[in-house]
Amino acid sequence: MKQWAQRIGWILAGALGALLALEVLFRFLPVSMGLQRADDVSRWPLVYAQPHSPYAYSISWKMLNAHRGETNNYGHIAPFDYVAGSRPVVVLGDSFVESLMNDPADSLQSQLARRLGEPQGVYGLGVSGLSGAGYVALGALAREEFRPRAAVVVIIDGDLSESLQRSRGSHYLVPAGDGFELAFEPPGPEAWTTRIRKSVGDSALFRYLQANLQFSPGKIFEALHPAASASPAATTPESAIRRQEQVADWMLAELPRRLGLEPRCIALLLDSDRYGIYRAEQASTPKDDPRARAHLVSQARARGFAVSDLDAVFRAEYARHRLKFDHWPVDRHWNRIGHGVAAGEAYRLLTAGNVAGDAACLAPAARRADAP
Amino acid sequence: MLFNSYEFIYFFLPVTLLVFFALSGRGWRRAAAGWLALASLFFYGYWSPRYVLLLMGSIVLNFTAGQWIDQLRQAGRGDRSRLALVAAITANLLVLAYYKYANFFIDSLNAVAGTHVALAEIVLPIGISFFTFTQIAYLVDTYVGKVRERGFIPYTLFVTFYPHLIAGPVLHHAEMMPQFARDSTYAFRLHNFLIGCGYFGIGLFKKVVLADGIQPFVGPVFEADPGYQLTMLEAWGGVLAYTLQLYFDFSGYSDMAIGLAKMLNVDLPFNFDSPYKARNISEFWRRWHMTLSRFLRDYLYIPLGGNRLGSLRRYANLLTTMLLGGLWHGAGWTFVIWGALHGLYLVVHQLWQAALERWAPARVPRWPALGRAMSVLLTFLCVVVAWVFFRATSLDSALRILEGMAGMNGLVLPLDWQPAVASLAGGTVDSIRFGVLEAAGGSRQLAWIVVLLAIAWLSPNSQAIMQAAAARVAAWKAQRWSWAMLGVAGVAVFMLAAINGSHGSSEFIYFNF
Repeated sequence: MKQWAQRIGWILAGALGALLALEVLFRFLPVSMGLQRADDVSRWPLVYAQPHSPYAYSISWKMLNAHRGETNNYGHIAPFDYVAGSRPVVVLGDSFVESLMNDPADSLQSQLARRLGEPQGVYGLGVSGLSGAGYVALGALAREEFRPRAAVVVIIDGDLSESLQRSRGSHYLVPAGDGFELAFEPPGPEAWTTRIRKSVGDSALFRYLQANLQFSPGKIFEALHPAASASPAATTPESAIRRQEQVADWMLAELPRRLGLEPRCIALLLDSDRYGIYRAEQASTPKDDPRARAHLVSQARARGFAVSDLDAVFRAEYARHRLKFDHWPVDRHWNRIGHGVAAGEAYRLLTAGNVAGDAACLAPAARRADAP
Repeated sequence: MLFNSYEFIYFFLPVTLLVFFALSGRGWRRAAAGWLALASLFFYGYWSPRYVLLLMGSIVLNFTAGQWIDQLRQAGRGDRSRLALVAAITANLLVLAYYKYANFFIDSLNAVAGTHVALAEIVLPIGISFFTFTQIAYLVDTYVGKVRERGFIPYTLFVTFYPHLIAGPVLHHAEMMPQFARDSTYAFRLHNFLIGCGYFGIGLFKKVVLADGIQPFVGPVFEADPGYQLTMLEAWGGVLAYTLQLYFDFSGYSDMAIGLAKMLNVDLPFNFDSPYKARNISEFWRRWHMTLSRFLRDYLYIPLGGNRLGSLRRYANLLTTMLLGGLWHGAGWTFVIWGALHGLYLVVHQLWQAALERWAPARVPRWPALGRAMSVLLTFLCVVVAWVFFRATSLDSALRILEGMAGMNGLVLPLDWQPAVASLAGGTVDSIRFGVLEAAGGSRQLAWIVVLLAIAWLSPNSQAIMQAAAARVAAWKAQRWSWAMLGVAGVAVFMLAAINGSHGSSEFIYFNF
């Protein structure tokens, strides 16, 4: 018995030594760290992550697209601090606007700022995981804090349907009468994985396993119960499509009111399934029904919003240059080129009159800064 | 079940080993062997339970045929014994032909005769080529009196032994059965277990990090739209990526198989010996998929006459052997061409050797190191060209890729290399074309290719590494270091399994054959 205890002891000692060696190795590598969410949720998601805290980003086991940096005073990814009441152009969105996987200078907001000739005149308010309901909540906080003169809202697939999903630490919509009410589900207690990570001194090895490899012990057991083979995409029920259209209507009604802006000063950019543009067989099944998306576009135009369906723009650009707009094939988020296309559209929409004949929201830059 | 999957690493392997060593520890050898056979059948059936019946049918047929052949041989009835052998081999080949080649024949018939015979919906049972060839070898060995098998369970274990069942190595009955029969196999041996873990870890690393790491650069070239014109850099990039992916994938699998068997105190034959270091094509085939080469030599080339019937016949035998070797890999004309190309390479090499012996028998090269390097490079290039047919989805696709490699669509460098090239060239790069390369991964792909080529050409292979490690482990006086190394190996396997899980367990390429 004693002999076996000794053997197990030596096995554990060997394993511990190997883990320590790996920890040292990963300390030197760009392991993804993500952003530490702000403790105070009273102004979340405006104050998003811990202000002035370091972050590191990389994706997959190969640690691709590695980026390091520090958040600004509002916990957003920007090379400068935001100033209350400064009347900027705000860019609202999720991880696309957050743009952890790109240099901050390549983001939509930075490229738009350069086009407008105002290096610190565009504030990126991108919060990973936000949906349409979250953009509206964020818009209201941005109005109180910055009094923006224009806004760009980046809408991606899932923003309509996910607005109805209740999840911890997020805004969502609750049906109320004919419409919706905005609700907030407070974040729960810290996840056990986070507590373990903190307790092991913010281990780089642990972060690599959790963030880069997306590993969890549960996955080992899931292997014994593989999901049933994917069935052909089910048709979205009519009631669900109607619900998504209602979310779109609610967003279009609430965004101007909560942002304190006329619709012509709100540019809506709708992302598209870019992988499907590169190759038809790579197209993915949309989360939001195409009819609900079309409804959003048509209603937004009818209400005087500045709208760009980026699908057509991406298709035309791809046909012309054959350059990809994202980190294909590992990451669907926009790259510098994708952000540049979006910035170009935002600039065009905000400095030109809309289809309803309304005047432009912003004056074109007198001297165009370097175009990307 | 894949060797690199969670279910294998965390459930199947520990349970199988624990029960095996528990039964062995009590001296229940037959039960331990039976357990291994049962576990191996479960391992096979995990993919598709219905094909366990096919596998068992094949085992029963061949075991019975082996008994029959042996009895006839013992009774001195050679003709009958030969007839039984031919019948049994024919039955094996018919089953293989149905599952693997039926649609190929129908497709070819339709193309040649203009018929419209519908293709059958047949799923290729995994590992069928391997377990069929293993058993054909057993039948032939029985016929010539090399082996005798009396027990059904040992025979079942020989065929189904999970380390080799799906993708080899192709085994000889004579090299396995004595190992299953000896007492020392049925005991936990720390040294063997540790060496087995080492082989398994190296194999897992080759598969998960090296082969799967370079794999994303293969598809864009081999699955490019027919209308897309591959430029020289794209075509070479994709083909070199595949050349390296295939080697690290298959040699990784073989290392894992060797390691898994070693944990059970069983030695499997090596399947790779740094094949891309080969200085000629004959040497390549002595280093690549060595157990298949051995099978083709012993059971096809030599029975055809080998080199005993004159030069012409020898070349014909070489071509025939390689053509059939190509067809063994897959039912398609691209595999036939791949085999034919290698046959041709071998014939050319034989002719070259004969010419050298005749015209310059005592020639000493002036720069032997340079000569060796050139030989390695030339052999490698020949192999790379042949891999195009091996991987291409159609003949047209293969020819398009070869066009690209030959520079018929021009040489275009990635757009993002322009500044670096310009600075290297002193600012003028008008003579070089830059553009968007849809099928190339730029600097990252180049780095992967350079690193993996360096490993393939310059580093010692798995057996060299593990033989040195084994010597060192054997020299340790205290066993505690071996136990500690087991902990290190456990962490390494855990990390590699997690990396593998992050991109989903990918199949081994040779599972398709």
